[in-house]
Amino acid sequence: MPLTAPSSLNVPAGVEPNGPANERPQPLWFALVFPSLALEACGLDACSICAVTHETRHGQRIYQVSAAARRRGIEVQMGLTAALALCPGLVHAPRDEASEKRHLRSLLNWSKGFTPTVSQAPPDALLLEVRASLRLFHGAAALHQRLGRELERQGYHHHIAGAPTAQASLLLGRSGQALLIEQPDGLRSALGDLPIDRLDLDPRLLWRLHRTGLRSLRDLWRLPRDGISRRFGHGLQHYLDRLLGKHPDPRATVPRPRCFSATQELPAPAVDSTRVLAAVRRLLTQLVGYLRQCDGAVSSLRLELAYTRNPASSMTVCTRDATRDAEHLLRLCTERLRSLQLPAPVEKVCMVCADILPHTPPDQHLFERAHCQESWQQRLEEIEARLGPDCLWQPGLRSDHRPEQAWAELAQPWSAKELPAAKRPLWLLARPQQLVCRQGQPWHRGLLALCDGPERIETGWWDGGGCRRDYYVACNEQGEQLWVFQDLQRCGTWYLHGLFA
Amino acid sequence: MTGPLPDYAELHCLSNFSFLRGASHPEELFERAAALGYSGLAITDECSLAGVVRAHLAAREYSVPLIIGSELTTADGLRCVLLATDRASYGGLAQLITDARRASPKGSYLLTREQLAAPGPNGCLALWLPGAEPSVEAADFLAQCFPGRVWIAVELLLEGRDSESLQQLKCIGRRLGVPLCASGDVHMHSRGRRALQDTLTAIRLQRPLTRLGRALFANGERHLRPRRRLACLYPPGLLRETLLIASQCRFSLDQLRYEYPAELVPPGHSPISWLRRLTRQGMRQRWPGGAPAKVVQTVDHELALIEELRYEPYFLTVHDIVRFARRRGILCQGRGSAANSAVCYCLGITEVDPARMDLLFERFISRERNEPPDIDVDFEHQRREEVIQYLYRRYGRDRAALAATVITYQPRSAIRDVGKALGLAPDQVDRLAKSIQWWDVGGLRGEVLNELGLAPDAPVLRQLGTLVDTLIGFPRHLSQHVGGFVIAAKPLSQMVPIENAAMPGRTVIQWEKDDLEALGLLKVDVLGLGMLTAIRKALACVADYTKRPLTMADVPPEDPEVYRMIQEADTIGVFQIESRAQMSMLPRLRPACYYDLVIQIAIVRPGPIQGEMVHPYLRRRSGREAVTYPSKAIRQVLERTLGVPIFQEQVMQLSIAAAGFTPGEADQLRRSMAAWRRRGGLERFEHKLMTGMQARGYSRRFAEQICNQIKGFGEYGFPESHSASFALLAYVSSWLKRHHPAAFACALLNSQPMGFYAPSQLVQDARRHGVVVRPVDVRYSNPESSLEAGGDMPQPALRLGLHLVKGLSQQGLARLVAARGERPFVDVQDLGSRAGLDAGDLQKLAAADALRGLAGHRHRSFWAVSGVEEPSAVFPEPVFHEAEPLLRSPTEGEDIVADYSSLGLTLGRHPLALLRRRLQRAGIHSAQAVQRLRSGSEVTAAGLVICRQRPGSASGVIFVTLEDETGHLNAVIWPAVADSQRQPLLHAQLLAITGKVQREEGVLHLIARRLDDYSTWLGRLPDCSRNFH
Repeated sequence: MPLTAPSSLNVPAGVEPNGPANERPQPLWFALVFPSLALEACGLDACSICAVTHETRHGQRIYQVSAAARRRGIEVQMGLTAALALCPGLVHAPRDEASEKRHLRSLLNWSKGFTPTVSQAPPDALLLEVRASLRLFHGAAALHQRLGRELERQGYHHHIAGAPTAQASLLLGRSGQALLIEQPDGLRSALGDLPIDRLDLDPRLLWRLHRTGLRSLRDLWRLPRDGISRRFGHGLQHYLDRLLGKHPDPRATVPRPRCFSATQELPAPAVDSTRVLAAVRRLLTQLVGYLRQCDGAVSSLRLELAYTRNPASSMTVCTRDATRDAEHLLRLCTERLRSLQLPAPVEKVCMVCADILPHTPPDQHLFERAHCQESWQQRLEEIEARLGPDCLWQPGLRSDHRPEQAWAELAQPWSAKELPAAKRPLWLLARPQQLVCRQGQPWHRGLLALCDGPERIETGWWDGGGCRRDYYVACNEQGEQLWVFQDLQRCGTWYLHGLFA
Repeated sequence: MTGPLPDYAELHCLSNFSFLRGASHPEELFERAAALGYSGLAITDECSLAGVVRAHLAAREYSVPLIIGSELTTADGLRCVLLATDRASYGGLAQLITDARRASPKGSYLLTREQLAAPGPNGCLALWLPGAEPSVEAADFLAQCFPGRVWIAVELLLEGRDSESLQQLKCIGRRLGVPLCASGDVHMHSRGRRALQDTLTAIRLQRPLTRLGRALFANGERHLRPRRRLACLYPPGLLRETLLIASQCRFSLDQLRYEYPAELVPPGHSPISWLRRLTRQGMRQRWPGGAPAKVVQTVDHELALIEELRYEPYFLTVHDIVRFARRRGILCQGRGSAANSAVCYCLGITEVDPARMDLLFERFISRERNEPPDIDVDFEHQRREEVIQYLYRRYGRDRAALAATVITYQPRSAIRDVGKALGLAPDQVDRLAKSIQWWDVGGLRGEVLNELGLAPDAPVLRQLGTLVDTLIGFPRHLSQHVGGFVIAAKPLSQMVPIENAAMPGRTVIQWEKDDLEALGLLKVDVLGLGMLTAIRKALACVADYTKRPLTMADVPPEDPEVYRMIQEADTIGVFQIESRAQMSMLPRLRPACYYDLVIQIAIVRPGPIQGEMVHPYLRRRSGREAVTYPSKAIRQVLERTLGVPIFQEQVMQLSIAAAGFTPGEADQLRRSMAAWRRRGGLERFEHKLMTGMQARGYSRRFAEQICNQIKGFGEYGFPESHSASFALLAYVSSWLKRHHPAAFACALLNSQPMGFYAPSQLVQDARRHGVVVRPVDVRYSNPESSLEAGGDMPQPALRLGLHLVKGLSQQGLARLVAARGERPFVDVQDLGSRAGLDAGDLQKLAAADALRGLAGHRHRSFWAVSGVEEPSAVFPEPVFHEAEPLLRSPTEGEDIVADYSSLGLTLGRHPLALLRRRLQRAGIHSAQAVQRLRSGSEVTAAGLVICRQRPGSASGVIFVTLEDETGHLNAVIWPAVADSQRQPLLHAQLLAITGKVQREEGVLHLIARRLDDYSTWLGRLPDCSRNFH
């Protein structure tokens, strides 16, 4: 789909660019609608044949499609299977709502450069009230163009529509109409022909309107008000009124995002980490104070150290769960600082937390000590902070007949509770070692006598690691007890796989 | 290690009737056991005897003795196998399984130690399955329940502790004085089923294979192992013990001596004297002036044969059921091998007059075949339940039960389950399963996989393919058969276990219809037939407006006008001869009498088509080929079908007349014909046929031709006895259609779902025959469609009923009719409040345009319906004064689309009439225009797809029927075209087909070359195709 060029902007005739000056200034809303946001948030190229899906009661359905995919007959709400049947080459990804929110949020931050009154119209639009900014940006048309240009540069598909009511601008934007209507009396003629499907209404209500033969907004306006309210609820009438500005439509402005940043200058350049730590302790106190105020918590913080005549360095300290426990954070910082060689005396320490998360205190039982688990986790985090993230692992049993698969470095969720019933050696070779045969018998530092077995293991055909083996406990002349097997897949070759004590 | 092989009988073996555990069919197990020289094989499915009849037949075929038993686990974990020794212990075992199954939801069972200790099963032999951690206490318990009849089953499966556990069990055995025996915990017939067994485990535990770990068996030793291998593993004494046990199990299913229910014979009568009396009574009713001598003779002959074979109770049972149905006014008709006998005609089981037919009773009941005759009885499908309830009342729920249907794996279900087990993504599995269309045979094909973007040679897909192929046909669970009833003299649970069905309160026995038949048990098929419902309703309608009672017997026979209509293939809605294939044959065969209809119904079947009998018959009938017979004997058999074998019975008779088969052998031939495609086994008959015919002086060519025809017949050969019954219904329905089209259409609409055509086609056809059809209207419509007589019309008009309104609730409908009965409705508010209709029902009525008379067009109806207020205490009849709304009326197209979505049909113009000009501009012809073209012309035609069909006989050809405002058009789509253009073929509602016109003996087909999907032109018309295969 080509980007909607701002040059296609189309100001209806008869509408003065600037309203009469003697009235209280009418608000002017710009709706910035991003029709391909779900695609863009998944990193898909909205110009290619692609779609985003979501999980519904009826299985995976198409949530958003690119224009190219739509030309292939793929539509929103179509089942994914049906879409793939139509177009096997369709690139598709599941919807990523978190990413969409991030994108919308960053767009919101950017739009704060044009007006302070910005609100979100999820999932795909922003509403900007721009009346106060018009003079600064040389009028509505110029601002319209400028917004379009900048969005294009950022690579977002968009429709920008301006209207005296928020609802109308949103409706126009979502209908793909890049109109700019500055005065309320232009609204009726601009909106009248819009199909009612575009209205932001409950699908069941839309269906009922459809069955009553209503196709456009004009059809709705033609009906008696009381009749509408009685049949389709006051909500619809209310919506229609907000659309035309007959009813106020307040929008919540989104405040700036929260973050924490503070600096401590050391009284004198320090080469000793304990003095740096003292500064960190003070910073942490400030941080925790701030977090209390805004009921937040952090799961990571950045420490920046400025040195004399040396480039600054920084480190990030992370916790498993969001926290505002100053002691715990201090212990983590201490471990990180201790492993750091200071290249030069430190002059100041700066602490930055960009991501303030909501504080969710752990559930506390009234009488039980819930701390054991907590402090054990904290201990592990400290060890990990000191030795690096890859240093810890835990052996665990896995449920598998194959001896080499029967344990793993990390206990998997399907880890076994019990050991196999049959005899297993204490020491398992990392890889089975092939044995030679002498006089038709396996040989390992002497001829092997098979004392127990066979135990036959045939399994694993589904993952490419299929095996068919007969295991024996064998003894050689040295009196060593060995665990050997004969591979039934490879012409009966013998292998040594383990040693008993 | 040579030396004599030890003898061995396997005593613990699961078939795939232990659902999702056993990985081999009973037949495979016996074949393998025979090959390995086993002295016996027990089938011990877990708490089930569902597979034993098949095992019984397989045991007979492979001459390996079958031991019947079951593996059981009690609620506290005690595991054992019980083996039946005689009829009494078998009954005890069946009862035990019944009790355990009935105490638990479908598919599971609950067994307590008390049940095991009860006297019922204690005639069985018990094998204790010690498991990994043997508990002496459990062994002791069993030893006390089964004194002197318990063994410790030693199962050495190379799982690493064999020698250890053998020692341990020997110890226990010595302590308790219980002998040990060898057994193999067999789950599959050969080692090669290991992967499938693992997969079944994954399906059962609902976890992918990768997550199963030790829930799988460690190895594939649980198969029927060669005796040499067993000799290495087990001490010889343990193997010998198995023979001792096997020799004590002398029970065979053949001993299930069947005793027929006794209550049907009044005191003072023997079964035959009572049957004779009933037959004489019936004969007097059929022929008030005295029966023809030939009939009397036939009846005597038949009765003698029935008496000799002691089948009287069978006829009495069916007679009893039919008499009940007659009394209740439920239309019914018998068919099947014995149904068309003179006795059955006298008893009123069938209407096929023996004087009109040349049917030989001996063909259906033979002395050599030691099994009861087969009579199926069709009842009106809407009232069959009444008959079933009668049977339960008459014989009690403990003695009468519906047979089971074993639900087996089909390609789609197999792909779903195996795909999940192999860990494919749910969405992939879904796509794979859905890619299998109803016409795809033989599982997953490379091109389908490519189409789905999957690499066909990926290992996981190859595994999938192999596993799916093996899994198809495996039993999955038991379900209830539609109408196969078994009736016993004593409680059934002593004969076959009974378990809970999915539906609460329902039970199902563990044997299928075929199983019952194979054992020679009394079964009656109580089937539902839509056409009988329709005929009864049509007869009632006609009687109502002609004011004269009318029954099937009053329909005048051999009406030439009826045959004229049939010859023109004007048969939409008529029984059997309405399908596309039948209709294309009617103008060629031109049936002109009842027997022609019998042939017509039987000849348009896969059997005769594949046996290439259709064209010779047509040529002979039209006089283009001389009718000749190779001998007088054959002439007698084939004369009524002009020398071409068409019926199943004729094949049997041929084998008797031309190749010297005995009637019993001929019947065996019929049975193997039914199965040879799946199992083979026709060779020995082929040889016998060839030599027999050549010995009687027939040419080799003729003999070969007969053999080929038999093979072609295969399982599809249609019996004359069925065809005769069907032809009667076909004639009656044709007569109704010809003389009372409105009543006929009305009855068909009220008997849906049935037949080949949807209500839309039926209504269109009725209108083409001059029937006035009136729309659904809340002011006039009844719950069902009805006839409105009046005026000077020769035929009453057909008023569509409210039942056609999609989604209208039954309660709402009833209240509406009741409220209207009090006084007519004034407006929509009146309708809503007096009938107490909720918003949903009102909207459904508005959508169906049924409110037009009260509120105006659909948009106004919806506006009115949305404004209906529920009456309250304050305002019992709410009144509102509102401004008149400005609502435009719907366009014709909108109305048609709405008609289709709410009613499935329209009384307006056909949707294609609206598109005609657009279609013309696109160079697309109407069905009527195509009819006028010459054979061989290239043309494009388009229409709504009303039927897609892929007959099994047509080697992959798909037939598509298109409908436009001028009529129907049949198109033939060859497999190559179908495969390359699956998308439009499968999904198009409005399909354009370009191809060549082919005209043959008055029948026109369009041979498709190119398919195009024009569905978007239709807007939102719901799919109206019926797909058949």
